Amino acid sequence: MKIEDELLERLQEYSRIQLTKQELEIFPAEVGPILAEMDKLMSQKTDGVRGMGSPRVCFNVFREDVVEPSTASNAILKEAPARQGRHIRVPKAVE
Amino acid sequence: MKNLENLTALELGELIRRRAVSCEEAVHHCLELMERREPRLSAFLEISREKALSDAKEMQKRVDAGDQTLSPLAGVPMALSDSICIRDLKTTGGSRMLQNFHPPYSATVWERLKTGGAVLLGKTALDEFGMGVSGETCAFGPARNVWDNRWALDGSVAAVAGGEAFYALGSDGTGALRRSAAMAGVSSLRPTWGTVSRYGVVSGTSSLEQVGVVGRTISDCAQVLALIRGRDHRDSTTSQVQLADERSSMQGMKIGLPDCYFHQEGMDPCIKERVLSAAKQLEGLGAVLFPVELPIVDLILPAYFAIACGEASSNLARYDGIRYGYSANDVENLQELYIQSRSRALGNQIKKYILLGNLFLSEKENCYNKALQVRELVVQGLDNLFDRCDMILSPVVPSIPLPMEEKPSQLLECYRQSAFTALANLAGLPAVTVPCGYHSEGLPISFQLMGKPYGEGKLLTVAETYQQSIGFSKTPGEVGA
Repeated sequence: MKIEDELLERLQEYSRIQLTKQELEIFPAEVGPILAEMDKLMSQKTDGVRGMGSPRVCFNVFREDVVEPSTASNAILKEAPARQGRHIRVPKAVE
Repeated sequence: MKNLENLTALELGELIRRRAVSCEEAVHHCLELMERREPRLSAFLEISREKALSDAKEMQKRVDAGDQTLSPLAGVPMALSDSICIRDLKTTGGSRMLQNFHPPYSATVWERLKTGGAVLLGKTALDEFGMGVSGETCAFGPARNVWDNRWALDGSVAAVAGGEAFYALGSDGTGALRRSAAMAGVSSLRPTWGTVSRYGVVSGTSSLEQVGVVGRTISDCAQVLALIRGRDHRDSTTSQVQLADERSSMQGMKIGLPDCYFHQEGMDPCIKERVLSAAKQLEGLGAVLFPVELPIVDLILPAYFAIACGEASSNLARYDGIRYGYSANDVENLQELYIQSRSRALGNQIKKYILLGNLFLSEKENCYNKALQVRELVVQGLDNLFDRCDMILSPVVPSIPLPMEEKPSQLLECYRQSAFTALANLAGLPAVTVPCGYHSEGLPISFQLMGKPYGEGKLLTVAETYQQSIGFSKTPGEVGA
């Protein structure tokens, strides 16, 4: 597995991150040894193995459909970087 | 003022209960040490001086009234990693992204400690979102090792090792807590995944991380675990399974020694010698030791890393500059808001984890799914292994990490230094680290015990018996100043 320029461009897009010129220069070489380990990982036969998303089996949880207090909206809104009244303010999403 | 420095948390708790020491005296003791040592250690990001003193006053009233609900650690001053939320108290996760974040809720672990009588001194430094070797990547500067400040430490470990706090909580997502504890001569306990609630803990790697405890002794760690563990309806991954934490006899305890760990390339001979020497001492105390093989050992580390990166990229996608956290305010559209907020506020190391995570999740190779399958094979293999032995003994790190001044690649260092800590994260195993000597370079060395899920009791039996038998030093005292 190697990271070519085009792939790195796509990864930045997926991640919503823009690396600096300096970071772009060193990233492929730095992660090279780790990607070599991932090639080893990919070669392991795992036919019929479902995979575990967590180390222990987890069960879904339900509760009674009754109204319970939730976190006060003011407490949440006060952390918003930009707000307008009881709304969080954001740049226009659709032109 | 009484000198409380050489006391364990349990010993101090007993003196407070008997009213031989007051809660305020204990806090003043810690604050005075922090004033002297913090310029060198930088363990704390936030010190709650006035709150600690007022909480100590309130706690003393409960002690004086003979309140039976108080725990054996009531009134003992402690520290919390800045990954653990306390309502309205700044919680940064070690990141500029959250540098002004005040959570609207408190973590379950803090609520349970507070009920038991904990007195908080402040919030400690950590690797950004808990992902690093041992504290180096904290956006506000790393905590330093009291033994040699060329090395960074997780802040919770630095606070306990430096005598500033009697115990602390941290998050063990990539093993940084255990690695730090090993290099600082203090004990640590990582419980079975799902034993302790992660509600209110800043997320990094959900299926790998667990709240861990740092203490001067394993007995201190065990008492803290008793306070914080248990099912939490706010964290659906907490288990209903009862923890088997009763102590048993050391006689005949079966301990496996993974050959592959002790003979791997790059294994520091000094660390190996000290850990094997400790193993011999455990044999002298009644344990039975024998070599074991770990399941697909070459793939444990890459599987753990692929899952860590994948989960980090998913968890950290929430930092979009909109609902909380840093927000770039010189942007023209939504896309730029996302990109500039994240690029400016997330640290260099975390960006690499996110990029790699998106690679492993989205490209056709799909390492993440493969890693989940390897995890299942490892867990199955461990089920067989733990039929033959009660626990595994290993070093904590293969070598002393490079000092900060050499500016190593943190990503590669983290990968390499996770060689022996990754298994517990991947398979959700309980683990303890126990100091067992010193390296020729002067830093402490520890060994690690990993047990079967919910088998904390046997780990604690062995660790406590060892610590009681060797007459260990509880704190480094006035090392260097």
